[in-house]
Amino acid sequence: MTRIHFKALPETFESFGEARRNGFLAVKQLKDQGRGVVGTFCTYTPTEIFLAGGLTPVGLCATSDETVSEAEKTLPRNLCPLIKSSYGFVVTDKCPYAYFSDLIVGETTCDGKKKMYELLARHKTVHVMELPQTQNLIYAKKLWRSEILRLKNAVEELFELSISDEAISLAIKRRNVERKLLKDLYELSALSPPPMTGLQQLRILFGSQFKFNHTDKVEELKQLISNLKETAQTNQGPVPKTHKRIVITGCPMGGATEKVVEAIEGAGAVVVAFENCTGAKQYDRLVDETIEPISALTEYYLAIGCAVMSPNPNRFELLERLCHQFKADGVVEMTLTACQPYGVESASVREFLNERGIKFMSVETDYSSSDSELLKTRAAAFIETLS
Amino acid sequence: MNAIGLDCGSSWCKGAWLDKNLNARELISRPAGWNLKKAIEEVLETLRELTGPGAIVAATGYGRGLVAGAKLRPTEIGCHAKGAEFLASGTRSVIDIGGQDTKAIGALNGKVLTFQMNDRCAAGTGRFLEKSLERLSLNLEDIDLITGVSPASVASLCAVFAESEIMSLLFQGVSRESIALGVVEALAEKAASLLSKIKPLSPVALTGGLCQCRTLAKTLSKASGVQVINLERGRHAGAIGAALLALSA
Ligand code: SF4
Ligand code: SF4
Repeated sequence: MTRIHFKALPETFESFGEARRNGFLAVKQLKDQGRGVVGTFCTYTPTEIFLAGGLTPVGLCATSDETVSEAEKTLPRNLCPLIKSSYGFVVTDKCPYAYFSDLIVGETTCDGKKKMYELLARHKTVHVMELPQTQNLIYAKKLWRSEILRLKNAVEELFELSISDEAISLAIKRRNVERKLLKDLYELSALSPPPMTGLQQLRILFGSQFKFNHTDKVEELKQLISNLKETAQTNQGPVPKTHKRIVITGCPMGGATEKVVEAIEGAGAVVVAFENCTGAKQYDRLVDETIEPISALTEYYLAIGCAVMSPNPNRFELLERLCHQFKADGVVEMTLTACQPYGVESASVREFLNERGIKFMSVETDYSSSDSELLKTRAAAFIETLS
Repeated sequence: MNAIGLDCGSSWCKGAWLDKNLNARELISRPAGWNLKKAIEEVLETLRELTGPGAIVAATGYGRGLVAGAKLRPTEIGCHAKGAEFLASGTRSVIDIGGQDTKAIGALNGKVLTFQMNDRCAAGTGRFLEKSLERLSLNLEDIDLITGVSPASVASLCAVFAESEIMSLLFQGVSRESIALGVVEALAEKAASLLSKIKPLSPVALTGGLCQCRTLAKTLSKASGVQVINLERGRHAGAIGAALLALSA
């Protein structure tokens, strides 16, 4: 693998939080063993392709405003913070994961992201998948299938390896085991009271993407699930039964946007489920193990209910199901500033939930902390309306 | 039992004293300035002298965490709904234009059913009008005295950008009265769009610092298509609501 070279450690890595730092050491170890790393930005990326090639996929979606001002030197200010921050972390070499990525894979999801990838390609090797913007036309499936094959070829060529169908099937099986466990885990919050806070759930879901050893990850998740079950049985959980139950939907969450969860949970409520990419959107379904693997990946990934799709029925189906399953008292949507897909779709979500008598509040925010007070007030007022 | 309600906003700290018969005995306010804590203490002390010891305190607004000894700290949204019901019984909709945010509230018997609030920036809030008037050397009270001019068109709702827009209008020779009315109109448009999201029921009570501005109520009525009325003591709706909650706690 000629393209993979190792770089010295920039000092800024030291400042990373414990979880990410541990993950970082794991990535570095993998690199030391000569394994390639692929950086991804979106739930649509079929990571099984990389796993089947013995490569390590890692999510690069940045969740802090640390590099936003750096990014704004190139990108417009009025752009989604996720895009600005992700770009900023890559070009400043501040994200260890981006730093160690031999390849970055993106999709033509929203306009901001796909244009950002063009700029990113000046700094890193970037492969952009052409994602259809609708799910049910015949061409959509055909296109997405051929894009998955094109990705496979690109990976094979770049890393000088070959990826067999058997290897993809094995990767699917393994990822399914992880998906199933993560789903089992967050579904424990359907209990009343849930055995964990929403913030704890979010951190587990978010942190799980930085665990790279399948066997260890499975063991840890099993252990966590059994601990949480015990907590539930002995009623030793952190959440009082009287707390209002909230389902969160909208743009991806984690890092800086934990402030939304904190605002809700500081006001006598608990977040029981995340419909976002950080949560159920990713783990609710499994890849079909009974059909040819490329077709299975095509079906699974194309069906993700993200607002970049038009129409986007799957988000609504999942959201409604979560509301019932988790006995939600209300839904809070988080959209990121200047995110057009989610910002516009918000009106449909409001109407959809109104028709079903489910209380709804949408908040727009970014990665700065300047609106935490505002968020607290809004969350508290929303919770007041639920009783 | 006496109750003191404090509404610690970004521009003003308001206080209300309610006695056990639910009479609003005293309503006061102090500019928040930079030292919120000092303003809060002043208001609290003034009211405590009047009520004597033993009054229960409830605090709302952004500074509610700074009020020592508050028994409860409800949100200003709930308090404005309660206060508006107290000031005008039967109120179903409230529009509160505050210093750093604007809220549209749908309520029944003083309880919030639904609400809408501006996100992050100060576009279309009281601050926007305040900044603009400052630039024009006009007072809030002056607006209702303006006659015989039509409003200039002000497109920017941002407190920062509005200033440069106002300058360019002044350079074009537009009168400051006309610009002031234009600013009120822009503010009303923004508030009306928040209002429309809660499906308001007439009459809508105008609370907050601009509650006495007749021109605003009129413009807002026109922009939203529902009648908006001035609540005489509406700037204290939040503080009164807090005091009411304290009494029923
Ligand atoms: S929200 Fe949509 S575009 Fe963003 S990561 Fe998720 S699937 Fe991708
Ligand atoms: S949050 Fe919205 S604008 Fe930002 S990357 Fe995702 S889809 Fe694009």
